[in-house]
Amino acid sequence: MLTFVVLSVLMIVGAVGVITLKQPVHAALSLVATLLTLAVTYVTLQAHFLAAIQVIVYAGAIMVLFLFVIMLLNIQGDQPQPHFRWMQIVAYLTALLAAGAIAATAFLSPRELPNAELMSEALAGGGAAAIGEALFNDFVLAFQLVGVLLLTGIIGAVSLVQRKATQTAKDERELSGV
Amino acid sequence: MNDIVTWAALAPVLALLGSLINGLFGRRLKEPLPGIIGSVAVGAGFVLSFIAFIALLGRTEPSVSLVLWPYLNAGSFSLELGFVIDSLSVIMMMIVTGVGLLIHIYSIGYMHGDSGFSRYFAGLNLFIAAMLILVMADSFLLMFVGWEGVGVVSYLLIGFWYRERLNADAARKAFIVNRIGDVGFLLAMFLIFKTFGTLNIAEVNEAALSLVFGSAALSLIALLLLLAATGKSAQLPLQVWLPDAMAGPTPVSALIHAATMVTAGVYLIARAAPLFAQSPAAAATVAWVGALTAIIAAFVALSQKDIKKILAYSTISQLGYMFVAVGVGAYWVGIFHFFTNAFFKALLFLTAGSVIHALGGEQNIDKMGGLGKSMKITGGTALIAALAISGAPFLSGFFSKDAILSASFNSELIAGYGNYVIYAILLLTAVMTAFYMFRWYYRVFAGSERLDKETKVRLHESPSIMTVPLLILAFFSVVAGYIGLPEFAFPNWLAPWLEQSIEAPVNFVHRAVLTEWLLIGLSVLAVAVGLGLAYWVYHLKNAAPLARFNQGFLGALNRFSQSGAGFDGLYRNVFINPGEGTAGGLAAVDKEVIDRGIRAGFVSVGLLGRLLGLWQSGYVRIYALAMLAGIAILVILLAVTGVMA
Amino acid sequence: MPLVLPDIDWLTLAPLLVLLSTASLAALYALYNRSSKAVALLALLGLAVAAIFNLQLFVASRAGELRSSFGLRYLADQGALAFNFVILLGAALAILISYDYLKRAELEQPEYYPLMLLSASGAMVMAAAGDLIILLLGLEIMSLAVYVLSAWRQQARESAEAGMKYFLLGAFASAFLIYGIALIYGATGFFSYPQIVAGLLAEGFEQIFLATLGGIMILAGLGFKVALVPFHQWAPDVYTGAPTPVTAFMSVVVKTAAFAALLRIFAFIYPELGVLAVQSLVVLIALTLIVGNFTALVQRGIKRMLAYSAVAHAGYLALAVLAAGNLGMRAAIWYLTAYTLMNAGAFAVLTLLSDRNDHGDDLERFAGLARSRPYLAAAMTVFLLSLAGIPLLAGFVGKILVFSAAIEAGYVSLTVIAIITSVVAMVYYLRPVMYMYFREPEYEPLQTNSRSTHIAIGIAVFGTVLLGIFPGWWYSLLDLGQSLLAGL
Repeated sequence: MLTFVVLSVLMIVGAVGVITLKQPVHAALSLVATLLTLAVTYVTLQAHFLAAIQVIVYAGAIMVLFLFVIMLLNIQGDQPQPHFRWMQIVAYLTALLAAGAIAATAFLSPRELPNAELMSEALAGGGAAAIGEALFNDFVLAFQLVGVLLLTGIIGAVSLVQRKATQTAKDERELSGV
Repeated sequence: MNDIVTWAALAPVLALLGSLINGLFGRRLKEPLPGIIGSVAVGAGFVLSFIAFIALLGRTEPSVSLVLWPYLNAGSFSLELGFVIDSLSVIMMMIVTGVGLLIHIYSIGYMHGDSGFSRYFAGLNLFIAAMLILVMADSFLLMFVGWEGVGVVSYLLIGFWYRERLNADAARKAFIVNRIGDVGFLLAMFLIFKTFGTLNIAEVNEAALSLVFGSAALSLIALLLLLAATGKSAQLPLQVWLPDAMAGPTPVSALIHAATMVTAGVYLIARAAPLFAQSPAAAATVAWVGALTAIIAAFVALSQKDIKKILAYSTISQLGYMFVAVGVGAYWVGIFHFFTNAFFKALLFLTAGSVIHALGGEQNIDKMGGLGKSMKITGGTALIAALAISGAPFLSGFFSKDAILSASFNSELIAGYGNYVIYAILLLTAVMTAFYMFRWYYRVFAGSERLDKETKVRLHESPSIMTVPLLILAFFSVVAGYIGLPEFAFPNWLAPWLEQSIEAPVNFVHRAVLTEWLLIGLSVLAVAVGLGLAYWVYHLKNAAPLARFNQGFLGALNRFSQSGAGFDGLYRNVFINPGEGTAGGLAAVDKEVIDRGIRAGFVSVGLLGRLLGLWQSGYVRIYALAMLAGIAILVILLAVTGVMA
Repeated sequence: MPLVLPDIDWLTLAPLLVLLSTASLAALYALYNRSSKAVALLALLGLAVAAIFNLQLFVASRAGELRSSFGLRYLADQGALAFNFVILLGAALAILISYDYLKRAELEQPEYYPLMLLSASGAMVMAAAGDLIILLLGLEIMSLAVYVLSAWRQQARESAEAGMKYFLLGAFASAFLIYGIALIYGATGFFSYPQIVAGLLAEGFEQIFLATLGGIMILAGLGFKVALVPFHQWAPDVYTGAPTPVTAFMSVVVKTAAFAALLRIFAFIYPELGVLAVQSLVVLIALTLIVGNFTALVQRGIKRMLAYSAVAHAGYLALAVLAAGNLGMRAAIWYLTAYTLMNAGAFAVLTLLSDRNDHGDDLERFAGLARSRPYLAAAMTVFLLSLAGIPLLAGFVGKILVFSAAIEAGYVSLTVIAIITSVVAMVYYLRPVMYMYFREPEYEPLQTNSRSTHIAIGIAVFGTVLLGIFPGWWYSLLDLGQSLLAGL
């Protein structure tokens, strides 16, 4: 229980850091921290397979990509715009209120925690088998649709980039023609 | 289609066909041809309506309903589109097509040489089609189709000469004012459906009769229908659009804004008579609206200078009479006055059109006078029409107006709501009517000529294609009243005929024959006073006594009358100026956002729209914040209810 | 461990698979041949074949046959199939409009069409989803493609901005949706609708507040897609910035799919949630009707006006959602059919009036159109009158159906608001009509070769008028006497 509380607090602090830190690199690192704490939480829940995936895919591959992009584009933190000062306050206030209300609602009715022994038993061996079964049975359609989603993303990204290229080439041609 | 009566259902189809031909191929047709096509289409409709009328005459139950097609069947909402041809609608159909035909023929001469000749006839035919659908509809929904249809065509024709800014503005004013009436119609339909579970008029009427007398739902429906009717029939407080609508071509004013469309409100109330007969409060409201409209419009008509505006106000006033008739429960009388009014009012407008035509567009009566000498037919028929509308004895207007007066005097339906006061108001209005009509006649057709030199040279009687319709209308203006003679002493054909279709039990006090004769005598006296006054002022004294109307209290009265009893100014101050004032404060927001048409009536509403546009700033973060705020409010509500529980 | 294979009824998946394979094929073909014409035709062919499969399924479902795949996660009930027709129709119209437009704006690139097909297939997944995860994935597939499409005119700042804005806010809204799904899962332990309902109704269930919270979040997420106030503000900016055919696609296909999903979960899950879940929608509808209609009143740009009108129509449609159940469902399907025809038609006319840079959609463009291009003006008049709800056109019947469904469900005061605002709406819809007929032309009309757009306009006019005069046939096809929604 104590570990869970500590981990949760860390996770929330990391998440808040992502959206409040000014430097993109700092924000990205904060996100890494959040994702890693999440992986640790999985471990405490006996979901070793999930934890491993979490580290490899998110904290590893995706975050490295993020950092690369940030460094390559040399993104600087944006300056706070005084014009939106009041808005920031309103936004924080609203978010706080909403979060408070959500928390209040969530704890309105007590609920029993799932039986830890049963869970461990189900996830014996890291849970890879259980995940695999769920993925290729109950969630097989979702699994396939994620593939379609990725395909859409690829076609979309390629067509946007490619168009930029053809457009530039065309502009250059026109310029040289003149 | 075995029944010959059902052939009359083809009348709107023919008119629609004529409209389509003129609309699609009109530009390729040589000039009189679109007019001929239009006239033939309407004429055929008239023949069919007349045959249906003759066929219905001999029947014990003069009503034929014809289902066109099952429209919708959705849950408890089921509706068939159909026509009903009964003694009420057949009269309306004959007037619409008959007077319509004459006006079509007249228009061939009037619109001669106009670049929009075929467009004009396409619009006119479309109007006839929509109006026929309105009167033949067997359900409120189909009636609404016609209702909107005549409205749309009327805006198109008001703005027919749209190159003049004023005309387009008038069309928009009519449009916006009529939207208020639409709210009434739609909400009434909604309530009718909710109360009775059907929109079929016959079923609603039957159900209404079995409902508790004076129940709140009934009164509300009736009042909403009244709101719809005031919009279309230009009654208080929505009368402001009709005078401006005179910007359209004069035959259009004659057909749409005098004889037919504007009476749709009266027809609506007569059709839904049981709803009103069961709700005295609503009925009394109808009668009072009519009475006040009648006298105020007559008062305004006293001082107007535009040859058509006088007639427009007189139309509003006459419609007020009809409203009183249907308000006091004398539904057949309302239709009777519609019937006679259609002839003499169309005739008045057509003579005015003939004058305007001859004078090359001049409309100010101060620049006319003495036209009767050179325009004999126009002048003669105008005199007949003026006598008829004033209620001179033995002409059509006399009988129908007298029937209204006596009905309001004798009504038991609104007995507790001041029916004698209404009677007195109408009697006074009758005096004023006679006066302003003869002011109109003397200023235009009699007395000294006040024309420009060059106009005088061009002055001519209109061609016979225009004068023949005048003569026909004049004939009917004389005789049309004899179908509805006073019941107490003479045979009356119209009342029993119409009451077969309008089953609304309204009682009238039966007075002694002497009293009835006395009432008639009073009406005659009223006409005589008004006529005599006009004769004295304009004929004997040549308008000299009017000098004192330039100053003091009388002067103020005069100006008040000229301003249309101050309604336009009032609406400007109440609805438009405050909106503009506040809008000026928000001048930072794009100033031309609001279109002029909107400004003309909807600025207060437009202001709301502008305020709403303020948070449409274009910044993603504001949008996201708005979303978050929306969620937050809902979630907080949930948390609060949760904690409370 | 015994391996349980999922049940797959391939016919139920056929329309979806046809669209997906056409999209892939078209994308591959585009690698070798850059002819837009061929790809567009291929896309239309794909839509037609999908429609044929869909028809077969529809006929079967009318015979009372209920098909589904993956244990009720992918449904081919009558509701989903009817929505599929609407989606396919909307996509076909959008493609027809796009072809001329892209050529004129020199934006031709064959990848456009596969993206549109992918988006449409995402929409079909949403309509068929019987599971919150499937719903989410369908929504993302559909949206992702539309994000790219709305930024298609990259060289124009507004278009890139529109794409970006839509993407950012869409992601924000998706977060709400996902959060809502997670909460429902947290409360009940299930994703698929029947199981969720069973969980909610189970004895000893105590997490009703958590589930209601989830319901509200899902409502917000889907409310964003259909542009309910206050989740609507992206709509005017994105509608104006995106290329007009994409706007047309967005306003009909995206809206249809989101409503299909909303209708299904609202009919199934929401009645079992706390009252506030339903009450929230009531508030949102009232706001949407008022804000949408009154803001539309002060717009000068037609595209912007149509954007706000789309917001307002979302309000009317949500009224049908509120009247959950068979009647509301039928009304919504019918309304969306009509809406697809008249709205796509209006946007199609708009593409013919605006110039190459998509500028000039303000009222003045319409001045005197009745003179310069009478048939185009007549078509536009039909669309606008129908949107305004003038009788005997499709939009009017849609309103009647929705209103009567709402009355039946007992939402009287909301219906009164809807009626009054619909009269206000007449003012802004008829303003362009006045301009077309009462003004002298101020611009030379563009002379363009636009056969496929004309075909689209023709279909839309024909459909709008036909559905308006004979609304019964399509409505009665939706009538099975039993629920349109399969499942429970």
